[in-house]
This record gives sequence, structure tokens and C-alpha cells, in this order.
Amino acid sequence: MPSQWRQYVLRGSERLIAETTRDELVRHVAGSLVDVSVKQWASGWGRTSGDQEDQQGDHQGPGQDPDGSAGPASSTAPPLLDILLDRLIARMVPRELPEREKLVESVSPGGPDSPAISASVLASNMKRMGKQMEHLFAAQDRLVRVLTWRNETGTLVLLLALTVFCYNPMYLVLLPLLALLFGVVVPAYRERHPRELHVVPSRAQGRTLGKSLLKRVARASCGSAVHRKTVEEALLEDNANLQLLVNLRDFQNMGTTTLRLTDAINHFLTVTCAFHDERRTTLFFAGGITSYIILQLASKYVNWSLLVSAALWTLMLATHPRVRPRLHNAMKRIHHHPSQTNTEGSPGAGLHDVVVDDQPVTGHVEIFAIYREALVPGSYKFFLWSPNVFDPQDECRRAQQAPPGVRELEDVLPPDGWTFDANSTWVLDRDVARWSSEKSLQLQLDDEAFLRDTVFKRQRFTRRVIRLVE
Amino acid sequence: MAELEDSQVHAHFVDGHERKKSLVGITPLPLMSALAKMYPFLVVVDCLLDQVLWISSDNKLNFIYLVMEYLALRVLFTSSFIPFNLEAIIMYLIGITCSCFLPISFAYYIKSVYNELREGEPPTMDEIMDLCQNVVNKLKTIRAEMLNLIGGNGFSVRRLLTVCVILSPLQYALFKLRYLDARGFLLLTFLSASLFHSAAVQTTGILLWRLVWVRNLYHAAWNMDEECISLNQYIEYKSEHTSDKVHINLDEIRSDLPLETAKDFTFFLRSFLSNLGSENYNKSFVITKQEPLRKFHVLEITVIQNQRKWDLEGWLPRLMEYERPTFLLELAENNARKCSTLFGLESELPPNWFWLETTWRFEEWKYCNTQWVVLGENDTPECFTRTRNLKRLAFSETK
Repeated sequence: MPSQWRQYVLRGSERLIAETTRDELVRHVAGSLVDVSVKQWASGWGRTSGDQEDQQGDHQGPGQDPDGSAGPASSTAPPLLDILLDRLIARMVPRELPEREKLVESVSPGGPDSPAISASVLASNMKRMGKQMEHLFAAQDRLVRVLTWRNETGTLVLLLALTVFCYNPMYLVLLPLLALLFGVVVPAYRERHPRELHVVPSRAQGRTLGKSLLKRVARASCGSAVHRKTVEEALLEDNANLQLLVNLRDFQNMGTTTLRLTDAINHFLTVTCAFHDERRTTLFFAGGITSYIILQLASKYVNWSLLVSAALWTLMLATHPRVRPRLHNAMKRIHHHPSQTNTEGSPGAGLHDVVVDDQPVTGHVEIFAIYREALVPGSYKFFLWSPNVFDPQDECRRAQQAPPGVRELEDVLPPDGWTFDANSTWVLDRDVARWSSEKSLQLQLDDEAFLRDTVFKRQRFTRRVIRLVE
Repeated sequence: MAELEDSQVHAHFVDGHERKKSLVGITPLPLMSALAKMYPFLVVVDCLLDQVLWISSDNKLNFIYLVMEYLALRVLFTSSFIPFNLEAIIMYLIGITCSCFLPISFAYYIKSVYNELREGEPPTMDEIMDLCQNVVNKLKTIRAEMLNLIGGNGFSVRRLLTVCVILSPLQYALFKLRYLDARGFLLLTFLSASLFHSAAVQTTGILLWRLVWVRNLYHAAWNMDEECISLNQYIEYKSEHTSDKVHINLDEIRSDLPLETAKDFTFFLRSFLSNLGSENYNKSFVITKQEPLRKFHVLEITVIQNQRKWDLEGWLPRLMEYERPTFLLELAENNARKCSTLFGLESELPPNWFWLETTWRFEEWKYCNTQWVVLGENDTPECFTRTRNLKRLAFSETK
């Protein structure tokens, strides 16, 4: 197991250990040790764990064959520490972790669907993924070279293929099949059974005579542009082992790009599309729905194959390194001579194309003016403004505590996210019978809109509130 | 009792859905029995309304039923001749299957409702009343959304007819240009009616209604552009409709006033009207000071100023084309006509009329909703328009 992964696992274990009591910890560790001992004894205990670590080295994952394959069928046993960590984790995490949805259900319905969490498998997978990433980044390089006309023949072939897709989408299936057959299977055959052409290798050392006109026309740079070294070339030239550093840097950049992309998508979904700016989202929606209707109506009369393929060719030709600067300059020239109509519009004119006047949601809130009986029987003194009725069944009342409340009505606030209607005031609800029956209160009513019990009496006031749009 | 006072407290909502007092004791038995028998019917109606409003728990099921209904109707609207090709035959078979399956499915649902009610506990009165309330509320929502379609809170035959008049040429054009045949029209109507109350369609309508050009286009059908009224016309109208006369004998008030010129009279009236109640504005004053008798007409000109609240910029005199203009001259209560700006009115005063007041008197703003219904004197989130009166006295000597 590489040392850094071991560190991670050890740190995770420490955290797990910190969350358990000492007795539990001792029990888990002892149990794990027994498990490991039994397993090692069963597997022969042929070598000490130290020997195994020395032989495997830090650069090779546990449970992994020298050729890189991992799994229980491996002939090399994993180091003792890894097994101990696995056992410890297995004992400390919940027995059944919640399962993710799977495309194909497990064959054994009774058993656990996913393998248990394991430090050694985790470390091994990370290492293998690191190697796989190399191929991914290489493919990305190739794609970028094709899209930026640095592999001009590749770009043209791609455009031809896309044009074919536009005219017959069935080629989306057929062309990859063709590519698999003649791009993978045939070269693999030729590698095993080379074709005997009896061609003498050229002595010109890579130099070919004569030039293709097509390549010259399509070439990204005219004449003596500096050739940019590819990663593969740089790695071939440099004797030092740069591969790991390049991979690490690419992995880091991929993470940054992915996060930026995720942030941009999140921003689009939660801000642009979520009416933070009401006018902008409304215009976006209106534009979208108008485009949809136009495209829906026009779809029958448009030659989409021609349109899309022409758009693709135009886009790619416009991004050609020799065309783009000229287009850019032309655009600049147009921009410097704006038409007369552009200068006439007032700066704020665009802001008045959308009217945001949706009626907000409204509601009513209530507050109770609680009065307490004074020393003189029959006379009451104001006690609190409270959201609670404070009847004899009230929890605060039973606990011999005052209800939540304030002395001044100005200190009563609307619910969060709402505001009081400034054009309304607190209104005394004189229909005491109705609101007391709504709240299932069986108390005594009086003529002054009070609901009375032994010690307290209360009036209900209501006020209109308006929901704020955030 | 421990008195712990809070610094601030949040008021609670008045819960409209609080458990009402049990109806068991107060509802007559025959009524309870009738309601209990109606309950399965109410459940079915409620479910149908859920489907119409697209608020059922599984809208995907609703969508599948809609597709099946569409396929069934396609077959039912088809002429007897079916073109002999594989696709048409398959579609025909699917349509026939759907048209058989749907009534069976509906019957199965009703049967399952009855079975579950028979096997489970009978509903309480409160449950039945809640369901009744839900059905009524959903029907009200459907009614309100339908009325929105013809542009108004209440039903108006005129608006309905106008919508029909506008839509008829459109439908004729669709038929004439062969965009739609009779079957397509019926299917389109069915789909529109099925989807009309869904959140998607309703929200689309609301969002498109926010666009100024959509509102202007819509209201172009209802409103003709109103012509401005000049101050001269306004004064003529008001003079014709003012009959009250007040006789003042200046000798009784102040005998040393020369009152030879209009300037003198302006000075006099200013001081005189400052002590006069506003109930005497808009009246003709017959002033007598020995001889000769002189008649003056004092008029209070009332201009209504309107503004609209815009999302980013706040209150602006910029109003929608179809609604009130920025300035109106008030002819009578609920009768006002568009006029020019305050500066324009200054110059429009006829030559024989003079301002009694040097400036306009501004009243407080009254804040209104989008329909210009006054909500109060404070700006709140539900206020989108505001209006106020500007008043100024003018006079003229009459023959």
C-alpha cells in the first residue's frame, strides 16, 4: 500500500476511534487482531508481514499482482497492517451501509450487494485510476488538437464524419462499428501477423519529398510557426520520469475545471434560471419558448441536415487559426462604426420590456393580548402580547412559566420571510366564539371580546402579512 | 409564575385549515347518511379534478393516460378508410386497444375505491367535509383560470364574444392554409384543454404576460387610443356642469378694495379663499360692491398623476400603453380624460382665465394594485401603481 494512502486510512481510523468509547475500541481492536491472526494462520503464515512489505514496496498496491491486477485471487497475500485496518473498519462502520441504485441487480439477493469498505481496495483502485487517467488525458489532447486545426487532416475527417451523421443519423452506429473493425481489430491482426511488403526503410530520416496542396491550404499556421511540443514528445525526450508529475498536474487541473464547470452549471440553475433576477429569467424563458415555437413550426420546412452540417463547417472554418484573426479584425471594424440606430436608444430603455407585477402571497397572523387577574378580584392587568393562547392546557402555563411574548405590540414581528402589510393594522377579532371553537377551547366568553379562564383572559388580534420574494 | 419577557416575538399564522369543531354532534343524521353515501363519488370527482389540474401524486401516470386518450381519440376521429400500410394498421390497433382499456381502467378505479372504502374504516364527517372543501376549492381554481383566459376576474359576455371574434379568423386561417384538418383541430382542442390547467401552461402564461409587448398586443383588441383633452375643453365642460352660485357682498366684508383689475381681484380672492372652505371651490361667485355687479367663476382644476413601480428602478411615470396615462384631468368622480403634462397645462389656460394659486397642491400618494384598486397610503410589496391628485384654483370674470 502506498504510504500516502495508508496515512489517509490511518487518519480515518483515528477519527472513527475518536467517536467510540474506550471499551468498544478495545473490543473492536481485539476482535480484529483475532480475525487477522486466524486468517494469516489459515493462509499459511509463510512470511512475516515485514517481509511482505519489503517485497511489495510502497509503489505497488496490496493484493495486486505484479502485472497490476487486483482481487482475492491474487497469489500475493496483503500486508498484515492492511488486513488489520480492513477488519477494524469493518467492525466500526455500520453493518449495512445504504445501497446505491444499480443498473443490474445482484445475483445473490440475500448477501450484501456492494463489497464492504476496504482500505486496500480503495488504495489499489486509486492507483489504477491514476494510470487510466493517462489515456484519458492523451485522448483529450488528441481531441483538442483536432478541434483547433493542429491536426488539420483529422479536423477535416471529423467534419466529413459529422456531415455524414447529419445526413443519416444511422451512421452514429455504423461509423463507430466501422472504426472498431478497421481501427482496432485489423491493426491488432496486423500486429500479430505483420504484412510482408519488403519495403526498404527510407534513409531520409523522416524527411519526405513533395507537399500536399490540401495540407498546405488547411494548415493552421503559414510558414515558420513554432512547433508546440506534445506531452508524448516531451516525455520521450526527457529521461527523467515526468509521467507522475504530469499526471498529478493534469489531475489537479481536471479537478479545477470540473469544479468550475459544476459551479457554472449550479449558478445557471440556481441563479439564472431561478428568478433571482426576475427580468433576466423572464426574458430567458420568453426567448426559449419563442425559439421552441418557431423551430417547431419551421421544422417541417427546413433542411436540417444541410443547415446543421453547414453550421458545423462554418463554425470550424471560422475558428481556423488563419481565418479567426481576420474575422476578429473585421468584427472590430464593424464595431467601430456602429449604425445610427444603435446610438439612439436610451440607456434604460431595455429595462422596461418586462413588468414584474405578480400579486404576492398574503396571509393573516394572530397575536393574543393576555391579561392577568390583579390582586382585586375581577380586575385584570395587561400581561403580554403572546403568540400563544396561554389557556390552562398550555405547556408554559403547566410549567408555571410565562408564555413567549413582549410588552409592546411594536416588538411583535411577522413570520420569517413575510412582512406586515403597511396598509393594515392589528384588528381585534370580536368573534371570540368562532376562534375559540376553531382552537377547541372550552372557556368563558365575555362581552369585550375576551376569552376568560381562572386567572387569565385574552383577546385575539389579527393582521395581514405579505410574503417577501427573495 | 416566572415572568420571562422576550425582546421580540414572531406572530403565528392564522391557520385556515385548523381542525374545526367536530361536526358529528351538530349534523342531522339524514344529512350525515347522505354525505357518507356521496363520499365515494366525491373521491372519484376529486381524483378527476386532480388530473385536470395536474396535481395528482404521480403526474407521469396522468401523462400516460393523456397519451392513451389521445391515441384513442385519433382512432375515433378517423374516417372509416384506413390506408393499407403497416404503420397505420399498428396505430389503429393501438388506438382501439387504448379506447377499450380506458373505460375498463376507469371502471376498475371506481370499483377499487368502493372496495377500499368497504374494507377500511368508514370516513368521519370531518374527512367528508374536508374533501367537499377540496373539491369546491379546485373547481374555484379551474373557474378562475378559465376566466383569466378571457381576461378578467369576473365573467363578461362582451369579453367572451371578443375572444371568439378574434379567434374565429385565426381558426379559419388555420383551416384554409391546411395547417389543420377537422381531426387535427379536435385533437388540438382536446390536448389544449387537458394541459391548460397544468403548472407548465399556467406558469408559461404568467411569464409571457410579464412581457410588455404581449400586454400591449392583447389590450390593443380591447382599448382604442384615447385622445387628449385640452384645459380649455376641460374648463368649458366644468363651467357647463357648475350651477352653484355664491353671492358675496364685498361691502359687507371690506369696502375699501378697488377691484378694478384682475390683478386686484386675484389678490382679493387669494386672501378670501384662504379663509373659505374647499366645499366652495368649483362655484360661481357673484360679487357685488355697490355698482356695477361683477361675476367671477372660480374653478378648482384637478389633475390625477399616475405612476408604476418597475422592478429595478422603482416608481416611474412610465406606464403601460393600455392603462391609465401619466396625467388625467378629472371631469367628475370616476370620469377622467388623458391630458398633457403639468407644463403643458400651464400654457393651455385660456386667455381670460388666471391662476389663483402659484403652484399645484400635491395630495398624498395612494398606492394601488395592478388594477388600480387603492390599497392604502403606504407602499407595500403588493402595490405596483400609485396615484395622487394635484389641485390648483383658477378664475375668470364672466358676463
